[in-house]
Amino acid sequence: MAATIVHAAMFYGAVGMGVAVLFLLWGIDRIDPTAPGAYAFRPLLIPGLVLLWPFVLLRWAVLEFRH
Amino acid sequence: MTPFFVGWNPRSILPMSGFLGAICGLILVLFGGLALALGTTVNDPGGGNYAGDRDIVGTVVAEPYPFLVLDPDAAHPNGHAILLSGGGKRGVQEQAAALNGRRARATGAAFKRGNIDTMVGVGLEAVEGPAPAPAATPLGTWRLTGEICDGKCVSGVMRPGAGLAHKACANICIAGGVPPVFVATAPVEGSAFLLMADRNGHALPDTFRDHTGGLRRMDGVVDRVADMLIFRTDVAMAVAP
Amino acid sequence: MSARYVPVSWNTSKLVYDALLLAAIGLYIGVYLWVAPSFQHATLPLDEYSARMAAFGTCAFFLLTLILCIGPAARLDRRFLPLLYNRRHFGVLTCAVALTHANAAFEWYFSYSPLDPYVALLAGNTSFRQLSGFPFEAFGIFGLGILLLLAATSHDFWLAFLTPRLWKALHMGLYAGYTAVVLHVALGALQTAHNPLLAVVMTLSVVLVASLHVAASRKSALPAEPEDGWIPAGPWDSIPDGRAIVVPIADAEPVAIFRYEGRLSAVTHVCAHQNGPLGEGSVVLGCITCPWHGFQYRLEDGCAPPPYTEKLATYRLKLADGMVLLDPRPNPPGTYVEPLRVA
Ligand code: FES
Repeated sequence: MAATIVHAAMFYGAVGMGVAVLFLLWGIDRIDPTAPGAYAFRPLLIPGLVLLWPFVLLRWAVLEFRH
Repeated sequence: MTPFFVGWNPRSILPMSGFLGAICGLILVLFGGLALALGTTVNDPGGGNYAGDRDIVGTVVAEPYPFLVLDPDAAHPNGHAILLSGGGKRGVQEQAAALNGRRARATGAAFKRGNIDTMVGVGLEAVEGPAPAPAATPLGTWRLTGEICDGKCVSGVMRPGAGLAHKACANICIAGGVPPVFVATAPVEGSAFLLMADRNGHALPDTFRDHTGGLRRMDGVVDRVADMLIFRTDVAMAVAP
Repeated sequence: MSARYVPVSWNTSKLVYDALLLAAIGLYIGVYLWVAPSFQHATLPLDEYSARMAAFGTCAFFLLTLILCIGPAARLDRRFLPLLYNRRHFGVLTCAVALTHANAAFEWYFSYSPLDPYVALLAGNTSFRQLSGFPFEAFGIFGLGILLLLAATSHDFWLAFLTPRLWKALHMGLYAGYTAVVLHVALGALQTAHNPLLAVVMTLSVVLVASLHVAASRKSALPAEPEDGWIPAGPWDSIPDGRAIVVPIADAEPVAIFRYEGRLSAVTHVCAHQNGPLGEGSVVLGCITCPWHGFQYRLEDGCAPPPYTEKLATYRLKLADGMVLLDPRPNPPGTYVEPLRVA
């Protein structure tokens, strides 16, 4: 049980890391008009992206459609 | 107009800087005072402590948990028992089982608390020589109150190495093979520390987990092996006193 | 105020704020770890890890208590506002202190066993059916998780990305975190504390947080009954010049009615930045100024002055016998409303 939870959490974190890289290198410039050209703040977003990635994907998709 | 602070205008803080200075001073004094008050009133972790690295020879006993019985001397006419555990939260069950009842040399770091002696990070190797079976004396049935601890932490590897805040650590240690020790609230035949075993003198069943760290009352049989007490009990029957 | 990722940039007050925070933390930890032991009456001092756990754990608790007190204190007395201004750094530092506590516990209690340390953390204590002996670690993990989540989403990017409403709701999670931390200590350290001091100080902290919140919430009155759709908001001369009164509206955002140079203007009480309480702000340089981070809006149309783009909903007002009447239906954000002349 405990091992399953730990594996699930590690999987969640690994996917989150992937989403974070994708979002910071590509997505953020598409959905946030103030982001292009600003890079220094991006690493600060990684922990939040890893923690909230399912929601980030959702929001990303919504904003993508709006543009 | 009452003073109003606007973050982007640092000068707007001036009218209330006296007030804020007082508040910050108060917070600093409070923090220092609290740290001093709480830091001086921590629980006394007891006197268990590191007692040097040791290299000793004696008879290996593997059950219920590994210990080594040194040859009798003037101070210990029945021999002196020393609990053995491995590196970290591990026991030395495998090595001890292979050498059970034989003479062996143990090296490791010694910890001592009251009349309980333990060695951690133990390495065992067989040596030639006589291996007398340690003397065992039955001391009858007892109802004891106390706390189930892991013998390693409670003897000074951790200070404190007991109590409910330490419960998970005790569970991990005991499950890993570190000898469990019952710390009785009143000494039994001169010792408040008793090595624990199940009814039949084997290692504790997994149900011990719900009873570590807090005060428990339990019935069982006490034996003296060399100079160490062993408390054989059904740990699942333990009750909060 | 929406050059978005530098709206609240570094300045002297922030540096002083951060320096004071670090000083308080340093003082606490230093006294706890290096001064207090020489005054202890113990057979031997605590081991290094156990001492670190206790020092950083209690420190994080007091920091959290302070954070939760700042909000209501600033509503009760505006001189506390500067403390609110940089609360994010406060939060991130608190998270770091809590992490140090957790890390000491993790290394000391859960590592070096045959189990993976993370598995050990979850499986070490499973006595969920006991109160005394309950796996209080679970509450600690939950509380730390909340602190991490809030610290990780404290950058202004998240405010825009998650929308202020959701961001604010998420950051209300701090109350759940605080509750979890209180349970973590109550079922953990307090179970074996021989000295009642920690229990007393914790109880006082919780009482302080609760009573400040109750006192601050008393300040907001109940919504008045509308007459023909207009809500009486009180006599106009009860509004101090340059300030506002806040009118609660049933099932909707409260409205702030500002008086400035003999005219009245009404905008939503909710700041477009982080939902700060605009009606507790002031008019500075002719603009409504939020007490939290100083975002500004024009009185007549609720728009932030260019180049900024934030907009507030505005409301219609009228006067009857010296009483201000408010139409509770908001205009679309940025709608021009001629200020009501009163003197
Ligand atoms: S300026 Fe930040 S909430 Fe109003």
